[in-house]
Amino acid sequence: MTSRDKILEAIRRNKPQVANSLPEAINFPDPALPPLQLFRERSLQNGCALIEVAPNDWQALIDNRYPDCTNILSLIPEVEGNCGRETYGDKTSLAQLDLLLIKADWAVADSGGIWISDQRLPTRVLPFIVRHLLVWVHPDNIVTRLSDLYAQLEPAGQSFGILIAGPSKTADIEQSLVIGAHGPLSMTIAMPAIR
Amino acid sequence: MKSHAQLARDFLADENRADWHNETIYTFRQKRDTTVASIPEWELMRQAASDIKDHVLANLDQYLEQFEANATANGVQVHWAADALEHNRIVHQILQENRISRVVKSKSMLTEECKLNEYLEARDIEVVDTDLGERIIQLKKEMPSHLIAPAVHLKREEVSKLFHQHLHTEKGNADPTYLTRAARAHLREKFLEAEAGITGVNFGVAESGGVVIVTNEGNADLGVNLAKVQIHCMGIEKIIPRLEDLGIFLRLITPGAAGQRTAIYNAHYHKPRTGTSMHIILVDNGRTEQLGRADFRNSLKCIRCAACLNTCPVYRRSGGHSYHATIPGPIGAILMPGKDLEAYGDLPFASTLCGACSDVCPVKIDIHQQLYRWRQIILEKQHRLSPKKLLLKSSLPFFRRASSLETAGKFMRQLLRLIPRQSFLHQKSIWGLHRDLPDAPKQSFAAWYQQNKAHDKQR
Amino acid sequence: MHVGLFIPCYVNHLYPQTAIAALELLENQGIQVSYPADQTCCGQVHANAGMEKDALSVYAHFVKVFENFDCIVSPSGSCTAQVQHQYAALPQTPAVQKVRERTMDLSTFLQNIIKTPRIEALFPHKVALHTGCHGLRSLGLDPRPLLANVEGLELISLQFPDECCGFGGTYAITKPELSAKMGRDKLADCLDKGAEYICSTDQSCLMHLEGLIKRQKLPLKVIHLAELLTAKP
Ligand code: SF4
Repeated sequence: MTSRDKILEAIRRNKPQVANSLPEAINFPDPALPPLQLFRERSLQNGCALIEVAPNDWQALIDNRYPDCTNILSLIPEVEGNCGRETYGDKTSLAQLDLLLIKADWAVADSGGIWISDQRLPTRVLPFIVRHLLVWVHPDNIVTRLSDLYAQLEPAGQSFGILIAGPSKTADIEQSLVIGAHGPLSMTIAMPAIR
Repeated sequence: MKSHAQLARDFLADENRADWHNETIYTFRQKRDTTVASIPEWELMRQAASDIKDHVLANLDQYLEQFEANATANGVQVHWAADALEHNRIVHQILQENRISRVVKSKSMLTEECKLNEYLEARDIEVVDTDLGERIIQLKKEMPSHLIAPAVHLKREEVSKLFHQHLHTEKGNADPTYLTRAARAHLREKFLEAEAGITGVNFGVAESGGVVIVTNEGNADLGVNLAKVQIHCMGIEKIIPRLEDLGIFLRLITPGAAGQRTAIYNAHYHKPRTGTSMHIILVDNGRTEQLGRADFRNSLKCIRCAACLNTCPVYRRSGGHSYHATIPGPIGAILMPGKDLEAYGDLPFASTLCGACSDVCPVKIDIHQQLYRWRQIILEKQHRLSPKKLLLKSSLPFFRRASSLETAGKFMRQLLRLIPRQSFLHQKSIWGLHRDLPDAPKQSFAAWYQQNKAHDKQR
Repeated sequence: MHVGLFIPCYVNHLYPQTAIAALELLENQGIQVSYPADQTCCGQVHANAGMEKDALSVYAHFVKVFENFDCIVSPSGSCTAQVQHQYAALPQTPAVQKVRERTMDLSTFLQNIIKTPRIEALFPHKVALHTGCHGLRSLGLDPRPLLANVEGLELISLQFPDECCGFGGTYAITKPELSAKMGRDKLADCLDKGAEYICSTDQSCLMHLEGLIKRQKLPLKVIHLAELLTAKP
């Protein structure tokens, strides 16, 4: 008998004979703040920076905000960047990336996190390996809570998706919070400037 | 091997350090309390999560088959391991087939349980733990002392010394940011060199055939996404039915550790990257046996959030290593006896049964009741008549007859009065070592009642 | 209503004044109270040590003694929880069910059955409240509203209000170092906050804490809730 069969057989023998059914979906109470406001508050709490950008301000923004970033990879049309496809397959070039600009598919207000799926990522390691991460979030794409995000996702055909809620962090040395563990040292959320 | 009682005594011998440990971990607990209080749907989610897990355990075979079918359709290779050894063999075989000798691994209690590192290292494979806390204890050659913060028992000066020795950091520099950056640079090299990335799994989703990995540091995702082979080691109990269930579980798993509302990274892996391979190893290693124990099966609902550790007054004051087990704390004390009753029979007694653990568990495991039930089994199996058992056994008849108990009590009170305060009983007995014995009143309440009240009542 | 007073065995022998206070408090409510002389113990010590099977005969004895009362009241959250919850191990005869349902902690009885109890007490001191763990978590006791009736009492908030004191029955004996450490920490919390007294719903916690106080000669005293609610100048 294979281990697979052995395990399944043992489960059938040992599992409880009566099963409860799955619970009804939870009727969540409304949060205290509207989604946009909640998202801003929570992403700040997570250690993100929040900025507003008008369409023509991108270049100035990058020059001012990231003066020491030389290798910039941009996956948003407004910014050109200076690293392209050649970076993707090469670990050394990837490791030298300073800044990634990317658009989020969704943002979750309650956790202050953003969702990026495979389709936006030419290679999956990008948002983890860069030193600084800038994520473009459109207010229309902010859902209230995590369950609202999953309601948007199709179970079949998932490939890779990541929820990111801030710069990487650790508190493994005497519980002192250090921002910037193995992933990015900073994360900035950019949203359209309100006119 | 030393028992929890002995190890706890050793830990407490340095009372300042024990206080530091207690306070550090109490801070986690306080943060958890604050966060949970700010989530109005907490109890609703807890109940739902508990129900979902119960449902999964009762249908585990079907969900595993569904998971396997969907993962396979996604292009993932699914393996089954009956025990730790088979798990280790499978990992080794995958590495061999791909001629891999350098591996990075993110935090996984399962691979600790299987002692994967030792197995691979004995076969000339370099395994580097990449979670900062895990790396610290790997360099120090110790076991994790906490589910989420494996090096929580170490002070920054100790980490500084260790890093100076292994990573050549400045001598005496114990600044956490400095040390973390040094580890970052050191591990970056390892990430870039590694040919395989191994991770644990927090959730396996049956309907989509993917695994979800929850971290803060970014190490799991760096490891997996830079390597040509990714291996996810998953206990069979980690299954949840639907993607949408994550909307609850991902919100329940983080507050327990240190009050985080969400982890920084919740990564969903369903398909391998082009040109690479992805493996999921489903591991039993005693889980089906635990499933068969009606009184203990719901311990399999655990999502390893560490809330029960942080709230436990015993854990905080005795340290994770005092449990001499892979899984420490209250949850360890109910899981480990199922693996080896002989070796871990002391753990269910490492508790005052205060019940704080059950109160905070996000999937509603009745931890303290299970501690109680393990005690019954352990005493039953204990052939040798320990002094405690002997005393309790011989006292039983007294507790069935009020008159005998009254006489015994009278005798005890006299004893307490007659024996000098400086005697062994008062000073050196296990009670007297730390505490004065109570003063003995002349009369019991029963006697007082008989004298003062019983007559009125009869009239 | 006829109330059966259940006095835990160690209270009977070592702390009669607590039992007397509980009796007085109940009688002050103008109800009929009896102390059945043939009672012994709830069986908790044996059961928690892992000898539930042996303790079943003690449980059965308890049920026999108390089955005919309308309410069974005890000045102990821990023993009450034992009867309410762990007596599930007995065959659930109507008598057992009745006894489990009707056994309650003194504070619950005053708050939920009497509702507006008559309490005439004067206690001009700073008091920290320690609700025993079983009372706190298994029974959900919160006797603070009762303390509000005590004249002069100043209730102190602790830094670690729900932390176990470390008694834990045989735990106090089998793990003396940890048990004593937890107790000392509880007392340090009380002293830090300026308490003069530590009041508990369980005399067992107080027995352990008082032992530590006396050994270390700390400026702190213990008092059971029943005594506090009957305190006279
Ligand atoms: S038993 Fe519950 S509280 Fe403890 S680690 Fe597991 S899920 Fe968390």
